Amino acid sequence: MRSAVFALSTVVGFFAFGQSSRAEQEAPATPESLTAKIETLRPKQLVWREIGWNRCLLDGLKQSREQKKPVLLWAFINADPQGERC
Amino acid sequence: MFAGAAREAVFSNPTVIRRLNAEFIPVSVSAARMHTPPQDIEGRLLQAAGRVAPAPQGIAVLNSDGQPLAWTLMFDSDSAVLDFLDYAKRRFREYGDRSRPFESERFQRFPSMREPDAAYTGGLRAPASHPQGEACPGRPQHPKGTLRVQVIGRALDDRGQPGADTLHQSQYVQDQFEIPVPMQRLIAAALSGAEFGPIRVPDGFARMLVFHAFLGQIDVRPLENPNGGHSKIAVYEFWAQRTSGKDGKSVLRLDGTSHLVTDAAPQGEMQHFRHSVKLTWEGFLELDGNRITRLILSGEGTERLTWNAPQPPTGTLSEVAFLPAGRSINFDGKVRYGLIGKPTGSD
Repeated sequence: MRSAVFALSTVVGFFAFGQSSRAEQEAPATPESLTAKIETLRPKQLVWREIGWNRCLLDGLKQSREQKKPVLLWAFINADPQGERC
Repeated sequence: MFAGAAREAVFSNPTVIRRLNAEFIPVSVSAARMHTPPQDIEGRLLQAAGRVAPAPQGIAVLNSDGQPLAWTLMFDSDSAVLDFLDYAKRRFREYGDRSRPFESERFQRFPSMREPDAAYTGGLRAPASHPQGEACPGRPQHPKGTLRVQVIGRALDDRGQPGADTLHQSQYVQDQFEIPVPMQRLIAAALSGAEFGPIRVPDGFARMLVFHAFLGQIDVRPLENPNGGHSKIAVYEFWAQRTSGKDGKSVLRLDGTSHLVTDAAPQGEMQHFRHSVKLTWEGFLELDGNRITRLILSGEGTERLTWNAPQPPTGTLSEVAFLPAGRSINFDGKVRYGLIGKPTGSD
């Protein structure tokens, strides 16, 4: 008998938990909750953003003269690959 | 495709990243500035460098005067990328300034596909900076109040969680667009009736919201496909309803759906692709008078994308050897997109 009560309470508890989870999932979105959801899409690290690209050629040439390093120029058509689809 | 493929295959290589940051001055520019009438000294330098480029876009090594020591569009292999960096440093040691004459060495693919050298005819000296009060065209300025919207899109795994691949645009994209102040005024006026009940969002604004929500490179954009792809289905609809607000400020809830289908058969340089994006949207638009002060929008659904890149050259395996063609894509799965917009100057 005790095991039957335990089993019943477990089943009831399971469904109660399920309803609670569903209720949480179906809670109306707020600007804050939606922002948090979108932010989960943003990776912590983007490997292609680890190069310190300078968008100003004049500034790059100035640094080249000062640091005696060559300029590696990446010339691309369409969007800026640093922040946009390309 | 070149820029996306170069970003994925060349500039995501850890050794290349480390060497570029340590041994070079990395500069990125829009190739359009090399091929349009220059507005300033920087534009003239870029145009002179572009005159000896073997292709409309590419990767160059410049000396400190902005003269191209070498250009290439592709590389024979991953190791050839590192060889190119060594070669670039040697060229710079020899011709780092204008004390010795030289010609630009040019490659379609480094080092095996070389083109005739070309004489640089720029004869320009680069000033240290742009004239005082003039912004660099490479760093565009936006008028105060412009809403800058960042778009993030990601493939979801079987559990509905963001996938692990953030390198390839077939799995992860980020993009951005702006809503100028005059357009914000039009949108605010069109939505002024939203306090009395749901009203349909103007088509032009709805189109902006769905325009950037797709995986893959620019070539597979479902709307206004840049390569002439045919739009088979282009249905999008958003509704707005005021949820709260006072003193001229209001928060509108946005709900919408979108279904975009585009395809293209091989034609000229255009590759075959088929793209379908079907999303359900929810979000918020915050207004202060006739200005948009915040946009938050999330779209979730399914996406199918096939892009058949041309076969790589015989015996070549590395993506760096066929950058303009890109890599083939075959994606069919769940996706989520997020748009977050804030006025410039609010970060």
